Amino acid sequence: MVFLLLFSTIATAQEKKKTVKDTLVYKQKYGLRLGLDVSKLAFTFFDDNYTGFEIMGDYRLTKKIYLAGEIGNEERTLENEVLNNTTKGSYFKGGIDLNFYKNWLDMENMIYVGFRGGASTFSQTLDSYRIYDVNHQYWNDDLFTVEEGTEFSGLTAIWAEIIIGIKAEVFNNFYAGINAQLKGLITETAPDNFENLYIPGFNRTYDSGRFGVGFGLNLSYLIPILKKDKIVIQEKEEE
Amino acid sequence: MKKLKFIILSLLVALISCERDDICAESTPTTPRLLVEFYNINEQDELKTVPRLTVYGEGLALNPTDDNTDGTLVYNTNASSVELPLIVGVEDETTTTRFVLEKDTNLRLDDNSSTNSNIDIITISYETEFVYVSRACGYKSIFKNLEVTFEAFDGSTWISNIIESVENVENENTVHVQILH
Repeated sequence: MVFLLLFSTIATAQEKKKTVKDTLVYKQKYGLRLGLDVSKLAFTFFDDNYTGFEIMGDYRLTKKIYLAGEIGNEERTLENEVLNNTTKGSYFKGGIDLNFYKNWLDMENMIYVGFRGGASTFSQTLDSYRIYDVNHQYWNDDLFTVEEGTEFSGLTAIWAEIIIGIKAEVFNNFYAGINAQLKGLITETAPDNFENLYIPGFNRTYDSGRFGVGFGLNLSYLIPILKKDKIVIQEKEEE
Repeated sequence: MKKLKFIILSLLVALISCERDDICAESTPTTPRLLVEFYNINEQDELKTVPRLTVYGEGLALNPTDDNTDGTLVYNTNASSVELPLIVGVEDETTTTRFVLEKDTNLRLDDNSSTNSNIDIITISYETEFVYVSRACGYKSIFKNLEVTFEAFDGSTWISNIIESVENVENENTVHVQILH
């Protein structure tokens, strides 16, 4: 099809000294793109303190706007000198991606900015903790340790997120993407006499504030549902 | 495109400015010590220095001791206050910590055998409660239902009375115990 159009362009170009209005029509695929976050799979494999996966999807609404979302499940253990805590739970993120990349011809690549609302339900298990006492060596060599585990369940969190990323078609209908996320916690239910150290989907929390960060590496497949014509009008002056 | 650049830039700044919060800063208030001040028994709102005081946890130094060791919090020094580290025990159970307080240590150490020091022992009892601080510091202990008693080690006491100024020891911002002498 494209070839034929190009051929006709060449054909018309052979007529000399004529202004040509050239209409090119490309088929653009609109459909559901489904994928997996491969960085989470890699961490699951290589990091003893992490297990998790994320399924992502987007659906093209208009030329620029995609409906997008992620759903996932994570288990993360934090272990340091004073705490040993495991967070477990699921999350959902939904929103839109805005494509800022002007595609050539029939390509569907993206450089995008995304906006999401995120929600998570999870539990935290505090396996052991220590009582921090700078003077502990006066009486004992070791910090007092509490070994009995405590489970805090029914925890929730809601946050907003800005994403920037790219998605590029690596071969037919298969896409690879990378993105970075900045998150702002809106509300959370925190456990009594403890805090949410990690929130599935939001990632680790920080003492200084309500912000969080994240990144993603994903592979996805576009299931074409319908094709729309992209019309490009070129005006050429020929000698 | 300008908007996009701005968002990329602000994301980078946000990522770089992440602080280290995995080390417990020294300035973070954690488990408090028991702050003790010595007052005049006759003028109870007046600080009164204890001459040549020596203080150590019971069992952490010889009684009496002739050396300034890790166990001695104060050794042969004129002091009007002392900070006592308490033993962190099982939560909600009564824990006791005992300290030896020796007054006029110099009188024992000198060659004059007709004068001697005066040693008293104080017993501090309390219940611990563990309070969350942060991911880097973990938990701290506070001490509830504070009770302090004193007894003579050598027949006579130099302490006249002990007043607990607070019921719970939660931080090091106030004096917790007044010892009158």
